[in-house]
Amino acid sequence: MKRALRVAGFTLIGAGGLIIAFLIYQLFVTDLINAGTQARASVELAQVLEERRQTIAETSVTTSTTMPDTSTTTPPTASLFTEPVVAEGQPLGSITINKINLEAVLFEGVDRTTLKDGPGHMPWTPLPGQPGNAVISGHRTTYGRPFYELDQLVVGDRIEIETAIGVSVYEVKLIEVVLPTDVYVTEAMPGAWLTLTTCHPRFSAAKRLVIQAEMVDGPNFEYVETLEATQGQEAA
Amino acid sequence: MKRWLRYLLIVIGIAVGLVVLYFLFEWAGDLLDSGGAIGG
Repeated sequence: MKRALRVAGFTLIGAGGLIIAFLIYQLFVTDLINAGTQARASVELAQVLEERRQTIAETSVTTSTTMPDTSTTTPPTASLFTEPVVAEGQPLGSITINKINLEAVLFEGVDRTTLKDGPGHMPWTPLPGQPGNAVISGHRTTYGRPFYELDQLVVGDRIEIETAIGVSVYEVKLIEVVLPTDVYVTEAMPGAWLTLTTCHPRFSAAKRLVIQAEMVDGPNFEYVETLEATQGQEAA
Repeated sequence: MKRWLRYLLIVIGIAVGLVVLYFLFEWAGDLLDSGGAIGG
């Protein structure tokens, strides 16, 4: 009996130690790992953006908008600034949300390894700054917790994304909580949108907090406005 | 058992234990925060 109690006691102490070690690892060690990665990536990003801007300039970049039928509508005159695709795991740009003091290097990809480095762009959605719905996911409570305070955003708050084409500004329009399987939030939308997703509630991966913001300024803003106006005319 | 062999086994045991612990923590960490991706 005495021996059994002793074994049970040591087992409980061991389990407690494991839980404490787990929490220290998840809540502090992963932050340290991420801080180092972000510091290195922010140095690398300046160089990457410079190289990508040179590539864009060399390949003559601005493409005139062409619409399928211009006989009944006014053809758009704005230019679309595009940029080359980024390899998965590479720095893509940066995200800044002043309201929650967030400034982080953005990576291409949403696989587990990439998201440990920082917020990641879903590769099968348009790049931020481009027409369509660009989706970015990020950790909420571990690995630097970039989206820890995402729930503090309200409609009207601004989100800035810098990529090789410049800085695009988005305004929060919609905030919702969905299931991790609700892929409809990643679907294409008319105009230029940015969708941020993170785990919800904090310390649980049961649901997703989704912030959807619409472009209000940036290199492609004029193009998107013109495109929407043209499509509106066609629909009418 | 020779002393050096015992030490070697202890070191290997600790190393294996740490690797197992790492993967256990990573797996359990996904329950706390999986990265926030949709559809994953």
